[in-house]
Amino acid sequence: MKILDVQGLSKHFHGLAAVDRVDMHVDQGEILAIIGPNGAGKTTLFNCVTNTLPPTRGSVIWKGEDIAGKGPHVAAQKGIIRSFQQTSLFSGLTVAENVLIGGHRRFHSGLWKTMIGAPSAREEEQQNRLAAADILRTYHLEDKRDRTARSLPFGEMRRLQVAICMAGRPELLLLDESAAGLNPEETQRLMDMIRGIQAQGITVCLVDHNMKFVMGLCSRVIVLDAGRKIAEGTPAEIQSNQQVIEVYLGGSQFA
Amino acid sequence: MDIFLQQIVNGLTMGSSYVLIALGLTIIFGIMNVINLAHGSIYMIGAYLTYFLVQRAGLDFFLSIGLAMGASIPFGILIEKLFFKPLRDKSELSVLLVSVGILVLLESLAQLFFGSEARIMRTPYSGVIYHLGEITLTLPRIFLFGTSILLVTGLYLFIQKTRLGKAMRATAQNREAAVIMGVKLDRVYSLTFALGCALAAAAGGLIGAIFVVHPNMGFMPQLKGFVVVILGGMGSIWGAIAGGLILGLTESLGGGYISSQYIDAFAFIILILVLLLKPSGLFGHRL
Amino acid sequence: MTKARMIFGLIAVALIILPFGMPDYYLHLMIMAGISSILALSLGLLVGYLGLVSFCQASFYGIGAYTSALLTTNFNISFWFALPLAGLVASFFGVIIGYPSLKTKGPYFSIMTLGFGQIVSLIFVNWVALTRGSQGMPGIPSPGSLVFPLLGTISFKAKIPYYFLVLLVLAVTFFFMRKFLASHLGRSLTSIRENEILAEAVGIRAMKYKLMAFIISTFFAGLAGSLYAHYFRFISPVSFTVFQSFDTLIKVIFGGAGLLIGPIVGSTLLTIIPEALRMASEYRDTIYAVILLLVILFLPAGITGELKDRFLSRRRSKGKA
Repeated sequence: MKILDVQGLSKHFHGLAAVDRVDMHVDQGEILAIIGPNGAGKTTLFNCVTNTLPPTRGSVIWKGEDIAGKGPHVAAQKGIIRSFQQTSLFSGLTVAENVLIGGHRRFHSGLWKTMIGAPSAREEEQQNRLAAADILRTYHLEDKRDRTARSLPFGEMRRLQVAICMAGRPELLLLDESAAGLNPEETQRLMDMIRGIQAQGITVCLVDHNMKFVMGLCSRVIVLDAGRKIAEGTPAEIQSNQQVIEVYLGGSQFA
Repeated sequence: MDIFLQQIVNGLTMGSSYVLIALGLTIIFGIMNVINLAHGSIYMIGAYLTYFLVQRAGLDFFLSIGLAMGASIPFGILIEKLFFKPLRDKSELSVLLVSVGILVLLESLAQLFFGSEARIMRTPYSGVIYHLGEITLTLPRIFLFGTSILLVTGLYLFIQKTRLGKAMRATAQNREAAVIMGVKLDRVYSLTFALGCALAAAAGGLIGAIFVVHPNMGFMPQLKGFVVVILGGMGSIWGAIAGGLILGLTESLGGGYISSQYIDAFAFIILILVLLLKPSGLFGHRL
Repeated sequence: MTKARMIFGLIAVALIILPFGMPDYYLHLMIMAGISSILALSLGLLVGYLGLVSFCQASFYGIGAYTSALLTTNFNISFWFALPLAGLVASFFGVIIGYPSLKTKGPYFSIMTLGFGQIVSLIFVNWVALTRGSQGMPGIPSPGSLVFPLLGTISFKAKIPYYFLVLLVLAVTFFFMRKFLASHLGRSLTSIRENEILAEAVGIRAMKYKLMAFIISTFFAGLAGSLYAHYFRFISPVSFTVFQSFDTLIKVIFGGAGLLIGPIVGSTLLTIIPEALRMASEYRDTIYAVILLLVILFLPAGITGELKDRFLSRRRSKGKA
């Protein structure tokens, strides 16, 4: 069942098409990978889906509703949460605060209710703090909860980034180059983490360069090159696709 | 019809003063990425210097302006080294705030030393009036317009033709690359700031001869200078020229036909419209 | 935490006992410090928690002052209704000015507020029918007397009751902001300052929260304006210019924009110290400017920020030993 359906998506920068009429979809519960050489438009595609950058053309249909061009917070409010290629955190805030803020879409109390201390608002705050503590435990960040985000070592920053995304209980998680800069051990841990996320019923779509990472996790792969979709299929099908091999210059990454 | 032409002429002359102020602001922003709210104070000091040189020392008007410009150069370099250099890599807002501090400091000192009464500069050119058909032109206004053209051309040639000018342009386009290529950032920054101050001082002296000289005279013109810079595009010289003339004309025509009380409001309405509709201005970011 | 509570309690008690037996002049200073603290707090929310420098805070101060003055003189509305209405009218204009301004970033925002501030000043001076222009508006009444159970009828023409009125509004302002900042709304605000793109990516609509902060900020600025108007009982456009905004900004930065008590400390010190040193008012602006420059260059976190850093680092070194 499709939960995300991208139709005819294009993004132009000064006449240059970074993403060129891409059609793709994401099925509920799957782990989908988007791969392609540098500059293929993978991150731009993510940006358009979440509206961090508004698409030039096309529609982004999430659970039957077209959210294209509606503003980055809309996608998140409706359940699509993404990570960023350059580790993006609330650097000056503590780890605990980072996760609390990540859970923003679960807060519904308005200004009035919050300020007068209405029971529903207090209850909500309490619940979300407990949920945040849970997330900290799951991602092994509990003992670092009062440290500022920028003081964490690199690997833990990456973990925090995923924790922030998960705090909002997304339905679709978009991970952009989440394995970048991780050593083999950390990469394995990340793979387990993502499998665990899938087990919770969350759909995952990731962009990455690390082929072992991608092939080991995903049931379906989409290949982009120069803004266009050039192939789609299972990892095995992609690995034997002639066009894909050419695009990657000899296919040494598939070893 | 004659009123219309007169308004056009007035608009162009006032506009040329805005061009001078905006030029200084725009090169300082384009090259140093500094928003200098103290620019108006330098303008004011230029006016006072010119005033004293003309009234007390009895020097020729143009010589006085030249000297005022010259004096503003080391003054500007001093301000740049003391206040802007330490904040060079800090937030834009710190820089903005420090320029507010300099603004208040200079204006309050001027008030202390010179008193707040308005002074009138009397030069041999003051009372000279020409009539061109229906249009009236005073000589100081002609000087303003003419000197502005001269200074603008001078600045343009300097930036386009000299080595230092090239260094300035390079810094504006890509600071890191310029440094790698051997541009001495300190020198470029000091020079840019000094040039901006010289232009402001000249504008002050020229306008001071038309209107009056007083400690707060720089604030409003500087604000309008900012409007011009944003209208024309931060960092663009052509933008400053076009924007300054457009503003001058808008004020003149608007003040004449719509409302003379709210004449200052035109500038701010333009500002708000530009920031909302096309924040990069008419010519975008270029030098 | 009890140590902080004790200190806090002592300060509260001191503030309550202070006015009794104090000469009128010092009481006047305390009232001025209080009013400017409310104004500074309102600006501090924008500067410290949104990272936005607004140069038109005095405009909202003025809108609050004129609204309150007009309601009480022309429409005979009681001060006790005019006060909150002044805040509401100020925040209404806060939306009008804030919505376009908040679409711009950083220094462009500041320049935009500079523009709006000038327009509002022009209106104060030129719309003579409404504001009486440069001549100013005299004859603003003091707040009407109130009857209290144990104290009887209190007239607010006297300084001591007015002091407590200002203190009360200041306390309300402070505690409101503290609660706001501790809530998820305040957290959302801080997150926008830290990383706006990430904040949007987790569902925080930046514009909504920026506008919310702006509305709160301008509301309290309006309240301060009303308190000012009914204390001096005369207002004129010259008190609400961009230089007044600069003044308030200096108090916020000097006290420290990052902490809520910063603006209060800054306002109080900068109201009282110049008087205490018997400085002629003509030097005041120069001194303010020098203070601002020194603070930006050497003490960017302001007085309270620096004290907090020293305190924290001493704690850390004690812990290590």
